[in-house]
Amino acid sequence: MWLLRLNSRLDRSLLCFAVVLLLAPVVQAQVRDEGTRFFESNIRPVLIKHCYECHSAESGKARGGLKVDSAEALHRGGDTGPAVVPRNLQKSLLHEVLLYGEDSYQMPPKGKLPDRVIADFRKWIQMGAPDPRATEINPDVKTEIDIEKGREFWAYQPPEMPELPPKGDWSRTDIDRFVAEQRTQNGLKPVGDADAQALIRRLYFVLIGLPPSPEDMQRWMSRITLSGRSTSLDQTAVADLIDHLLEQPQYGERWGRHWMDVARFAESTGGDQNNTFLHAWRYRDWIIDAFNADMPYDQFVRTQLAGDLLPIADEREWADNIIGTGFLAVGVKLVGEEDQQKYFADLVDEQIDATTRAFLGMSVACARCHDHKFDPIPQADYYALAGVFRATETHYGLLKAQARQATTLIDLTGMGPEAGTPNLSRDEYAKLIQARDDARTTVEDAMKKIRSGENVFRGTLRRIRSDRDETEAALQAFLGNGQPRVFAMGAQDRDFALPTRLLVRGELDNPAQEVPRGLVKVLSPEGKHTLAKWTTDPAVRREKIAADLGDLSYKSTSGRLELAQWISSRNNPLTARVMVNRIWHWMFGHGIVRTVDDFGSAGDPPSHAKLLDYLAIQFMNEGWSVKKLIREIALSRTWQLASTHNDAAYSSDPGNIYLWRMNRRRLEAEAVRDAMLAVSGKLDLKRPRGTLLREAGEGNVGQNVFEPVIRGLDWDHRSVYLPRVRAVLPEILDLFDAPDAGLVAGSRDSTSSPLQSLYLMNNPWMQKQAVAMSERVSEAPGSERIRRAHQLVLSRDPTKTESEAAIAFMTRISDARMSTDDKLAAYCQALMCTAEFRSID
Amino acid sequence: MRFCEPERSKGRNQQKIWNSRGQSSPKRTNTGQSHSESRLALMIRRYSILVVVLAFTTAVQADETFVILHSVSGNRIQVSPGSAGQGMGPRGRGAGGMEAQPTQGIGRGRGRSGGGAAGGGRGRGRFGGQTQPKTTTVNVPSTAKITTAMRERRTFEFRVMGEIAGGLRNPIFTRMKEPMQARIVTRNNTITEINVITGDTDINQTSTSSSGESIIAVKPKRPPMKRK
Repeated sequence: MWLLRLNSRLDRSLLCFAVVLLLAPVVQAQVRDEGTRFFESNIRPVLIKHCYECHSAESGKARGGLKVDSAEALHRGGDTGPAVVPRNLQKSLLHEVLLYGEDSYQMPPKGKLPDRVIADFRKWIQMGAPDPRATEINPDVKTEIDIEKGREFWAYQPPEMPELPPKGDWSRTDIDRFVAEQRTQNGLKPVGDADAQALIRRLYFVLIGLPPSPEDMQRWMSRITLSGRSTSLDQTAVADLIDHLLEQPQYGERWGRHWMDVARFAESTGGDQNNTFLHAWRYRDWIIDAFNADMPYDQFVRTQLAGDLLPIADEREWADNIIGTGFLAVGVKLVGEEDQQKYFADLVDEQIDATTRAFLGMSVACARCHDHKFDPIPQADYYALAGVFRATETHYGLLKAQARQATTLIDLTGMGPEAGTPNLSRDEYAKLIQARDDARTTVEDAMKKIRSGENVFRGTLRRIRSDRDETEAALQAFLGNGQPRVFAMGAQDRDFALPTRLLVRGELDNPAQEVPRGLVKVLSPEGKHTLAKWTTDPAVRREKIAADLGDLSYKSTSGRLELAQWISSRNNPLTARVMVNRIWHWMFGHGIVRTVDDFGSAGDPPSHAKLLDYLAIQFMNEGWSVKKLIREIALSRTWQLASTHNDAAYSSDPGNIYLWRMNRRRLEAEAVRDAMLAVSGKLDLKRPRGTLLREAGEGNVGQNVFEPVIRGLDWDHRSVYLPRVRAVLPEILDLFDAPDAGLVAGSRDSTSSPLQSLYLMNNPWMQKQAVAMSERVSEAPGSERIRRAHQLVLSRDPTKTESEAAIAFMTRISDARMSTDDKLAAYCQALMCTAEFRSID
Repeated sequence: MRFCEPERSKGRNQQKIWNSRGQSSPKRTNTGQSHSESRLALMIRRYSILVVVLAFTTAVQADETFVILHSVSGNRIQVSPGSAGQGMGPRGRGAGGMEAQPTQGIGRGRGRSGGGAAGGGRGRGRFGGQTQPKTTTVNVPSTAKITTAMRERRTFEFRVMGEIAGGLRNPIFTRMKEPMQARIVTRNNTITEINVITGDTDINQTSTSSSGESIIAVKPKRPPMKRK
């Protein structure tokens, strides 16, 4: 209405002027468009042809301080002033030098340009010198790393089958020959072999993570021991024991747990807003099943990186492959991050770090902001890999109301995997619908209040929106008939690849050159590190066909399939070495390369380089079978050495690098807990359905999922199935150095602290196990109970001294008015507190 | 008429909010003051508003421009002026350094039900009133980054989200049926970024979509079958 009162010419003029100004930016875009076209067709070609040779970043020259390869450089000019001043011919030195005046510079030096060209420059300057060469793209970042020299490093050269050292008197297997050769060269002699009891116990803990029962111990002792001498062992019987243990489902749980350390498996995001993953357990179970089935390691790698792209035989295999890609989804995520591009960059960074450390023992993520400081990994290699992961969608779920960066999950309903929860009854389903409808109504009422001008507390709004999302998610987790849907975390390809630029100092606002998707140069054939070049290699094509990887091309996908093929290739110098070294580490307590996650120059060199190569090639030749390698190692005399101390050897080699004995080491946290449950008789070996974490709920820890509730969750299944929420580990696991899954953790610390002792002595859970164990022990006759307790806990009979000490112990505490049962429980607990119980000898 | 209106939905309730928060109606000039004095007051008010508009337009022209995206063809987009929504993206690019405020619709009267494009809301078109916006075709350089964007519910702060895979080739653009609000970011007279408020979020992002449907899981894409 106010507009209608504009009745003066001035008012109308002002209004028109305002409208013109508003539309000016859009109109100017059109004008710039024409100017850009003129520049591209008339000016840039001339600059490239006649000027770049001496005045560009590409040529590395800037004669007179002048570069002409960007708008900013032209405007800045050189030693004598700006080269171009838009719309001002007098001040534009570029125009002056083109005119070839006698009193000025004459450019280009090879001869005056045609008048027509000079006229174009004149026109261009007069129109404002439009130049689309925006300066926000930084000049190309070049590396100073000499890749060829970098290839000389031992880890980047293909393994070669070494000549076997002489057998000698001591060696039993090929592994022993390599170890004995190094030991002899260092003037060391091995200690004796482990006796049957120690060996059987060692095999049980290393292979399945549980102590042998007294009955198992007796049975295998009688088979393994030759001639009644416990140190003379029947290797055929030992092999049978190894095979027996490798066939147990507990093997997959034990070794799967090792791999979960490497895969940084956890059931929450960690980071700023620690949200629970209620579907990560599928990936956990997939790992365990893969180890039990002895999935070839190369296939294991490919499935975790690109399972969704692998050819399938049926829908069940499809579902399993997708679950395997949970490797890419379970890492730490800062889901509270507001800037979605920064979040995505960090997600990609985490995936690159996990992939390269886990499978290649390389720290490529160190090259995000600069060339690697120690290894021949230029920054461009990082962004070449980033391009592959940027073309990938990562699905991990979460509630939108509680995590800014929530995503969808992958729906596998009807494809074969079992649901993680039981079916709902009709009433239960109806309750879910009601809860969802009530939550929606509450939100709508609040919004009506807001629209009508009433104030609604922001915290309340957040809570009721969270309730709405939670109830909606809870309902959508089921089909209409109450049958649960099957969801999984994993990866899928985007519809298009995102172009990736190298970021100077890793800053999003500082892009430089575009980097094509590719691989790590130092591990790739020369000149074939981009996906485009690598996939044209005939050897690569043959390998792809042999591995039955299908026909998908990186051009229509993310490139993860090519990345997976490259990593799992026999020609990759690192993959087999790294895995073999990990297996050695889990068998011996330390690896041939001690820094199991870093095979670079900042890591340790191999103590037995030839042995490492031998094992790597054997591993590949045996179909990448983990079980076969474990068997070969376990049958070696080196592995069957006793752990006896020797002063002379210790003074020469305190770290036992040359394996003059077996390393005595403490059990991992999970094995400690499982062993306690086993001896108490309470261990439930059945695999639970889904995850215990479901009882704590879904959402943000601290907001609607609470730490005391998570820590209070407990059951008698194996520890691998306990909830693994980052920063909220079960107490016993936390105390005994279970990793928090923030990073790839190929090896664990082994600390010794008073808190551990206090837990073992005072914790109610410990006491409960001790009581249960004492009830088992009570079944034996009175005179046999001490012996029975020792057999259960330490897998051996007590020595005379120990028996006497035990009796004295029982007698001494009789004054405290404890019942016989209490005394026995206390004694059982004392046994479980011993270092011998929680060590592998 | 007021140039400045809080950017809200243009229903009756929004008018109520505006009324409850807005300034009082302009005083009529025939209340006993002299004609020249009232005329002067009116001129001063108009000029001050114009100065604000000029300053704002100049600031927007230098860096960010809000537009309505009508169609996409290859690397050419058809746009018309959008509301000059002010807001700071998460990387702190403000319109002329001004604090984030509810977007204000320029040149729109109270009587019109949202003529021109509104900057508020989540891409729900509010195009009542203006049926034939004047459009311009703009070339987008291949180096320009195309992202999604949104407005915060309470503060209407403009927030840049993630990159759109495929850029202008994404089906969001090739199959667009309704105009979309967008912000064009330029630097040195070149488009460096286009942030688009899309109707539906990326399928990879769980949310309640503009159609009210919640999506928490998607079916996977089928890989090839093994050779027999």
